[in-house]
Amino acid sequence: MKYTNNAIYTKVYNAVKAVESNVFVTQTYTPKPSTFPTVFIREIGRFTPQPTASFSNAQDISERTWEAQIFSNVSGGAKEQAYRLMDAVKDAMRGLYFLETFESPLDQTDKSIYCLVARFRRIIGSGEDIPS
Amino acid sequence: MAGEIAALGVKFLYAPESTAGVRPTTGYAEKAAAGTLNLADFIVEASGFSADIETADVTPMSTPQYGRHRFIPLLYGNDGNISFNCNVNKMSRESWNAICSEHAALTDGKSFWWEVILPGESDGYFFRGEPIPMQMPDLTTANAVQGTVSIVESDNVGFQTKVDPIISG
Repeated sequence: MKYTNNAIYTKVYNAVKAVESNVFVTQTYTPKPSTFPTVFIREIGRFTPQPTASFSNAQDISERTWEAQIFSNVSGGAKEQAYRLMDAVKDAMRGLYFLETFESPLDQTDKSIYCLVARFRRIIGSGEDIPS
Repeated sequence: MAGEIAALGVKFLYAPESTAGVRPTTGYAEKAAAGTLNLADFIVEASGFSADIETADVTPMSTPQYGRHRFIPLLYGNDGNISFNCNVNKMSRESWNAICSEHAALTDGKSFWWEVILPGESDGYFFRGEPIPMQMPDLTTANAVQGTVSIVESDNVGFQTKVDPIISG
């Protein structure tokens, strides 16, 4: 199976569902989800690294950036739940050979919500299949 | 505007000699065979031929103190290896190595002539040389797999009227 967005999403979906069966997983961004916990995961950037374009302008290699946001509102345990889910996301992305480039809490106006954000990047060749 | 051109669109061609040492005037191909990649599909960077030239110091003994050295030109060129940086994968490796196999099958001292056509040019750059099979590529995590292929130069006639590629499917 190729590195399609859906294939990557499905890997993350299965990973976080295995940790929290009631988690809501989505690729559709919302600044404040109505369901908790929520894992928001999507590709936020894709380009061809200049040194990999051939003289015929074959662009078969792309650098992809993905972002995950975890929202939790468990009373007294939101932070722990968010990190537990983020660990599952990271394991899934690591298994897909993505490198984690950034992770940080994200301040929320609603202090009952804990939000954690992380970014991942990877060079992907058009001939590559995702690890089974 | 002074006719500047970008490197995207450069074509790399090769043709086998019919007579050893004689540059072919036809039969230049962009790839080895149907099902393989054009050279320009996986080459991402090409080294050029150096214009640096060896010199000999011919300063007369009679040159006064604080006079200037005098030189004459000798030979110029590279160290014999022309290298191309490539995206390395099964397809590009097989495409390059098919060209190498084609060269290995030549007899009677025949070799390949290579032609590099710059975009919009009516001339191509021609040199003769033996391609060397692809070796272990450079590997760094988080980067594309890229490596170098080489051609050992045995003759070089520079820019001549270009020969367009044959269509090899």
